[in-house]
Amino acid sequence: MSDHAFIEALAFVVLLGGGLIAMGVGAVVRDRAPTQVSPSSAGASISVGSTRRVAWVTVAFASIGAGIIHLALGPSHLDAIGVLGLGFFVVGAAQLIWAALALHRPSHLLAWLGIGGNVAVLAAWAFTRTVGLPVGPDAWTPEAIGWADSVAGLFELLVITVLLIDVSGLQVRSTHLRAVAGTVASIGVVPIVGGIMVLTALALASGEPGHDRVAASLIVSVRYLRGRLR
Amino acid sequence: MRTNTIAQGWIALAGIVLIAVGLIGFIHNPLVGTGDALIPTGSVHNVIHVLTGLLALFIAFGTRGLQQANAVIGFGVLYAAIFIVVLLSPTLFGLFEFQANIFLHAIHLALAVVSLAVGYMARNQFAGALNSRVSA
Repeated sequence: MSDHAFIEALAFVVLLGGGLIAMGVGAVVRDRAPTQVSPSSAGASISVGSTRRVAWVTVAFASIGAGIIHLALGPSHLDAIGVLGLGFFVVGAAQLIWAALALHRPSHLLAWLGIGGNVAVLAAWAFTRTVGLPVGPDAWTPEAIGWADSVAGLFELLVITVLLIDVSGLQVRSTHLRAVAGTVASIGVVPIVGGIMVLTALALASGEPGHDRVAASLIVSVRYLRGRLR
Repeated sequence: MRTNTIAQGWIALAGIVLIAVGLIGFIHNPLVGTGDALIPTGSVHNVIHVLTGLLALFIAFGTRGLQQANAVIGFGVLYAAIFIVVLLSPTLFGLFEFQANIFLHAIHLALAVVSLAVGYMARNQFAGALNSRVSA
């Protein structure tokens, strides 16, 4: 068995063994121990109902994912279309800054900025996939749709949709439905954020039609900057 | 020891193991990352292990109470989705360098099932406790 196979096997045994022990102990303790809830824990549970907060965390992570993909795609576009490729760096940086603000202080203005910015980026993407860029070696030739740009587009669409719901002030009147929505949101935010992280990693590793592998383009970026600095 | 402590312990353990497995996967080894390895794991796969491990550690140390219980359930949902997708396409539609094998499927399934179960138990504990506080 290779070292890696051993590590995977060990990880499996630890996870499964640890999990079974945790489940067993949990089942015993749950029945025996008196129920304790500290005021701080209760406070934390009340904040779970903040569906709006969950929505902003989700769009912030989606924006981070899209921003990272744009930054990684920048160098290969800079090579292909020259100064116009700088747009990727601008968009990527803007998406990261917007995400930081969204996590720190969500606001109505920030929501509209997010909607406007992401609609513009999506429109530019759709233009290049249907009409093509006006410059570069393949001017006016529609670019192929790849993994990375599809994932970034998906993230931008998610940001727009969630923000539109947020600014519309949509309210569920039923208290019961609000509680259910809060619970679903607080559970759902983890797989959504995890999914965004996984998709971003996969997008960075994917082969992009007409370009180098996205991760490899980071190396191109360093070489490009070094060349410019000399 | 409360159920929530167990949920925190479980998700912290999962996070540490995932990060460790992900990082060790990057260490050069003639048997790792090559086609003739018994269970090869490529760099993308390692990155995903590290990222989800970090997410697990955030849940363990960045959340608490009912929020943590819900997050542990969410982590289980995430790995259930990963398990199903990777089971359907062992190379994740050609994005993984190498095919996932039975060990990886088992890890994904274990993470999903145990997280769902531990999170559910912790959630019940807190929901019951909150209800009794409200009625009191």
